[in-house]
Amino acid sequence: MDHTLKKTSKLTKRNRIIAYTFLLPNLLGFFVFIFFPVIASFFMSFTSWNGFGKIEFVGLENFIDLAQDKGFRISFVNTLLFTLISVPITLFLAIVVAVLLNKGVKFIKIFRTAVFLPYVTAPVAVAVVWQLIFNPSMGPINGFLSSVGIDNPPGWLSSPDWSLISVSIVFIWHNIGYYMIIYLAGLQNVPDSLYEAADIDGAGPIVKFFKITIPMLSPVIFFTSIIALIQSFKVFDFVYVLTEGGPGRSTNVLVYSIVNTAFERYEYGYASAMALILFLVILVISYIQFQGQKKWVNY
Amino acid sequence: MILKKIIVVMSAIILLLGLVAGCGAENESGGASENNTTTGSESGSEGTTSDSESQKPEEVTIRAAVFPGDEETFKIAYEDFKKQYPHINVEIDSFPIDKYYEKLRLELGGGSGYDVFAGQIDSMVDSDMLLPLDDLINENNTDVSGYGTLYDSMRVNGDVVGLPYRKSNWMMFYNKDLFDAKGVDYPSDDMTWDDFRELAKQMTSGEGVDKIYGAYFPHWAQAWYLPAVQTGATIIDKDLTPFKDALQYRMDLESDGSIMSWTESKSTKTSGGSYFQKGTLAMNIYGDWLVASLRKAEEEGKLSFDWDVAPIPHPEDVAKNTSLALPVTLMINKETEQQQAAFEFVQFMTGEQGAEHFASSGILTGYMSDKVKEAYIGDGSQKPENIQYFLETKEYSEYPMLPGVRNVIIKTIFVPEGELALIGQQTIDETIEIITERVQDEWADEFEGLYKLGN
Repeated sequence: MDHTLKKTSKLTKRNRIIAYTFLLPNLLGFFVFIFFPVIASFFMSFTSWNGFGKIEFVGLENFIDLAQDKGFRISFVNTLLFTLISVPITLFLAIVVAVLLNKGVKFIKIFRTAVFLPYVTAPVAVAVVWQLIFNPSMGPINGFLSSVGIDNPPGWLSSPDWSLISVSIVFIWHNIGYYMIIYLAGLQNVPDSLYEAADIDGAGPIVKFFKITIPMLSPVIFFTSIIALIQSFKVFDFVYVLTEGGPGRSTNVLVYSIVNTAFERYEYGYASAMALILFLVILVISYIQFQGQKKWVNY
Repeated sequence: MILKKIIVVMSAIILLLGLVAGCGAENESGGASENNTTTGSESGSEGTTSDSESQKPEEVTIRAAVFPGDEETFKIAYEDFKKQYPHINVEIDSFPIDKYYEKLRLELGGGSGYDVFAGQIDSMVDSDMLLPLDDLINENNTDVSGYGTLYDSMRVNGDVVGLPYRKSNWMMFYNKDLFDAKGVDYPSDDMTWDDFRELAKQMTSGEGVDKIYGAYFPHWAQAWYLPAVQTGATIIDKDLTPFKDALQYRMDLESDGSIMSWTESKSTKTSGGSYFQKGTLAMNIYGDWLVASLRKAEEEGKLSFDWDVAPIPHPEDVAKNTSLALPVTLMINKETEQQQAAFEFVQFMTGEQGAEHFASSGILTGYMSDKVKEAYIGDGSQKPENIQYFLETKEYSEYPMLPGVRNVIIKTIFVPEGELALIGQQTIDETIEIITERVQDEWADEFEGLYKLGN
């Protein structure tokens, strides 16, 4: 007995070593390109450094400054607003589209491709087109709005009241396809028998959607909500190409501020402190989500 | 058990990484000591060569980073340089202009730097990488008279840290054909901003695709605040009242409809340079580098109209031909091992011989002499006809060339706050008040007093 046990453990040992050897290249990459920079940035957030010369340890000074920095506050609020607008709408629309394109539609593949296409298009290229669409004087949106009798159409990207919403619209449009694919995969696991039973009980499509589809998809919804949240907190590319944080500071989101602070103002320590705050915020929100999931996710 | 194994594997990886890093460090220090020995032997051999065979100086290679727009001229001038200094090889590189400083600073900070680099002093001086040039200038008996007042006014904390090769001054370009078609006189060299406003109104016509704007200002903060700086004010002044009038002026032009609005210019990413070349713009307030682009466009047959230049308009009580400029210099990395070679290159490019090349391509150079002036004006066969105005321009710096002024004050304060005023979200008084406050909080508290311009 004892003998056999020893033998297995030897075998497992060897297997594990082989496994780790296969993992090694990936782990190495992870350590060099992700783990190390993250740790370095953590330590850097307690220093003051302009990219040259001595790195000066300043303790918590960066964080104290951040607490009083109005610019940081603006970008923080902008990021929260952006997330509040974009995440629920993206996920909701993605579910609706996924259910509609799940089965029984003619040319289903063409429609699915059409919805997914924005996601694989480069943000920079997309931004150029959206800039034309949003153009307040010559763009098609305002052209349409004024033709139906709206005298004062919004200024979209050029108006501080609308710019964050405009960027959200582009962001939502870009991301729906990605989440749709995940939901479509989730829908494959919902057994038809549930819908058949509901049919017999006389349930309509809306009841079925809320009573069967949503609960059955809840693990997927949970997963996507975490991913979407992180993605929207990290938004940078669309802001950079659409508005450069403007007009004024109306679309200056956290990551945009971080990039600016580090690479325009050359305050690497301060930028790292901002990044650390961003990390902590995402961590806390994800933690809350994980705690909350027990109440609504069905496995 | 598994945990233990993971720990073992992890520590093995960390060890391995440490080893790699260790190797790197070792190499580095090895490299450094190697370099030290070479410099040592070099200086040793220098002594001997000067005794025996001074004809054949050792061949050296230096690296230079320059603005992409100037790369071509640098390369042409370099051919000339090579004739005089056959032993100095220069590798000239460039980065895209919007990422120029970011890239350059990363390269220099990473230690794999350039010996010589172009740029505005203020964007580099805080790096503490700039070699003070005073000693080299004395040793080489460099003629600095041609730099005029720039030589001393660009000192930082008393040191000369860069020599200017171009001034990048503002001028006004106008489309002669549009003026002829309207029967209006060409802009004179002595126009006030009020005259200019009237003229711009007069020259504006059409709608939609036929729209002809009387004037165009780029969507840069400098373009709205320039009338204020023409009066001698600077953007770091504690009292920014002159900037209120400047902002108001820009808004008046917009409400006249004689310039493209800030919003439209920005949302369509219009560039004053290419917009003017379309031929639907009467007067363009822009930088001197447009001369070279227009000449090139003309050569390629892309220009369908005749054009000329005039000094930018001036405020009521300011002398005519007062403009803004932003000198671009060549600086030397203080860690270069080839100080002398790097200096030879800088001296050549910013001095008379280099300046002749730049001037003949239409660029107003930092160094001025009769020869350079001649090269700038040309033999009269080249446009613009009235380029000679700019030899007598009185210039104010676009902004004080101190660290953070461009990156913090202009980019993150003047641009967004000015924009809010221009799109009517903030009154002018509010805007200037906020700007004053933010300049104090975000710039002055940190940078003021650290660096001093001039002697």
